[in-house]
Amino acid sequence: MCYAPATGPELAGTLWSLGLLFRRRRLNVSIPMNALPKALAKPLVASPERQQEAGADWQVVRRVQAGEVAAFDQLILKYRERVYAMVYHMTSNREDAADLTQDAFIKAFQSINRFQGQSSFFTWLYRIALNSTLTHLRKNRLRSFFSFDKVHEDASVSEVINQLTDKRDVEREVFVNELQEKLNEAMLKLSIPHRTVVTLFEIDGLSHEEIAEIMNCSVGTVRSRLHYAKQLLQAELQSYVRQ
Amino acid sequence: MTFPSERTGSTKPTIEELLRLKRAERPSGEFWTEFERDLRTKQLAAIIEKRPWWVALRLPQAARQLARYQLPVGAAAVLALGFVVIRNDRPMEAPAFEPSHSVVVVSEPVKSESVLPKRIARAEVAVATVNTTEPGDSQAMPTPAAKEPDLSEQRIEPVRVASAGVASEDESLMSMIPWAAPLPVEASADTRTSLPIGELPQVHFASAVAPGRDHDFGGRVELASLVVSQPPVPVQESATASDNAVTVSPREVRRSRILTTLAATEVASSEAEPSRLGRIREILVSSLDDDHLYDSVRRVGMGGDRFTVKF
Repeated sequence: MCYAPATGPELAGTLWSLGLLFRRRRLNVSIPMNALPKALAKPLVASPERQQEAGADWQVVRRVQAGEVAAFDQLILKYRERVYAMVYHMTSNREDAADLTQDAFIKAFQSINRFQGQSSFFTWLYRIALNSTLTHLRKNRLRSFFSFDKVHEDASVSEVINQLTDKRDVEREVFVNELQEKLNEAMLKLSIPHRTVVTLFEIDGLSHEEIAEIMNCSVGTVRSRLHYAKQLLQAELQSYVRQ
Repeated sequence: MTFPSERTGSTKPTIEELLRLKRAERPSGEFWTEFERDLRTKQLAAIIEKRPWWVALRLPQAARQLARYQLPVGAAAVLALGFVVIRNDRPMEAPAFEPSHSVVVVSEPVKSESVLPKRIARAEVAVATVNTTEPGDSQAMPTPAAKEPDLSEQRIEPVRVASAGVASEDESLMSMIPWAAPLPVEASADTRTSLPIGELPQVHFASAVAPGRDHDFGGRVELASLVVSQPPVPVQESATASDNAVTVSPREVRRSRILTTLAATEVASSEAEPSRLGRIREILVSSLDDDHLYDSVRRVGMGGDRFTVKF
């Protein structure tokens, strides 16, 4: 069976046909929704507070883009604790978390002119920090050192600790430290995507939609990862939690 | 004092409640002071640091702007590239062969296929049978063996011997795939001029490498005696000496060397290890044939203005 190569007019005709095909959208290609970029798949419905916050951030970003470098400090002061918390709970190491948070702010500052406001500044900054953290975790997969921040007991935390032990004073502090270590060990046993979902949802308090946007995956994926991660954590901490 | 494992399940916290402990892990105020100082230092260093030129180009941004045209532009580029490659990538063609007397190569099937495996028998198929025509008769095609008596009066002219592994029916396919087809080999001038038509040497590899076997070749001269009686002439040298020089493939040179060495070994060696030599011969025959087998099974080819796909 022989195929003669296309001549010039034939090639032009083929290209013209292809152009028509694309212009009339007759090319029937089915792409799963989770493969599409999030912005195309479904518009993100943010809460009014988030929208207001995003609007205020956008104004600050515009000032920084216009050359007012000092305005970036407002964004640092506003988000440093949240970004640090996310990185810290991913790494369980306060020194690494501090370095990675600083790097995330530096990268955001260097790339601020590329930020077009298609997502909120908070989401964009979180994504930068998360990517830096994931890169760090992959590089140092075999090295894990714990370096914990102190647990600041408030009412809700005290209630949880009281459910677990009736120790007082020094013994209670020792118990809390032991529990903290067990909890971080269990977190580090999770895979990186599962740990990320647990950190962002249970600890940082982000919504499923926000996590999906940050992690560039579907909401269903976020939910299934969260469910699976909780099962793993429950199995790992079964002596401390209700079955 | 009660340990966690001793407590009842209803009093234990849930996993969500336990994770509140993680939320309570917070750094102190001193930490943030140090954090701010380090960040300021890094920020200044980042401003001073010269960024590489490829970052300044903002290539990702430019690529993002062209994203909507990726599919049609990519399809057009692939088509254009394929067109250019097909038009330009033509293989080298063999030089035109215009003898004063054209010689036709006819292949005959092997009669005793039961003696050798089919692959070896196929290697023996193409045997040179000479047919001479006048120069004007350029449309000479392979003719059946029945025409042989017409040629008995003539001497052998430059003989074009087809490669042993290619059957005549495959030649039409091979003509469509020029680089896949074995290159024609011209016999040496010494051999050509010294043999009359009645003593035409008909190459037979199986008999050359396994003379002890019982083959039915229809009275054809076997290569073993030919090679032993005549010292090997480098094929390329003889080809360049000839007026009608035809390019000789390295494969043919290698084949002639191997067979010559084998024949010399046959003469020199005693009959101490006949079975071992026989095995070596069989291996050589099969390996020589593999080349032609691979040539014949190639599916995709290109020649002239045609792109060929075998199904």
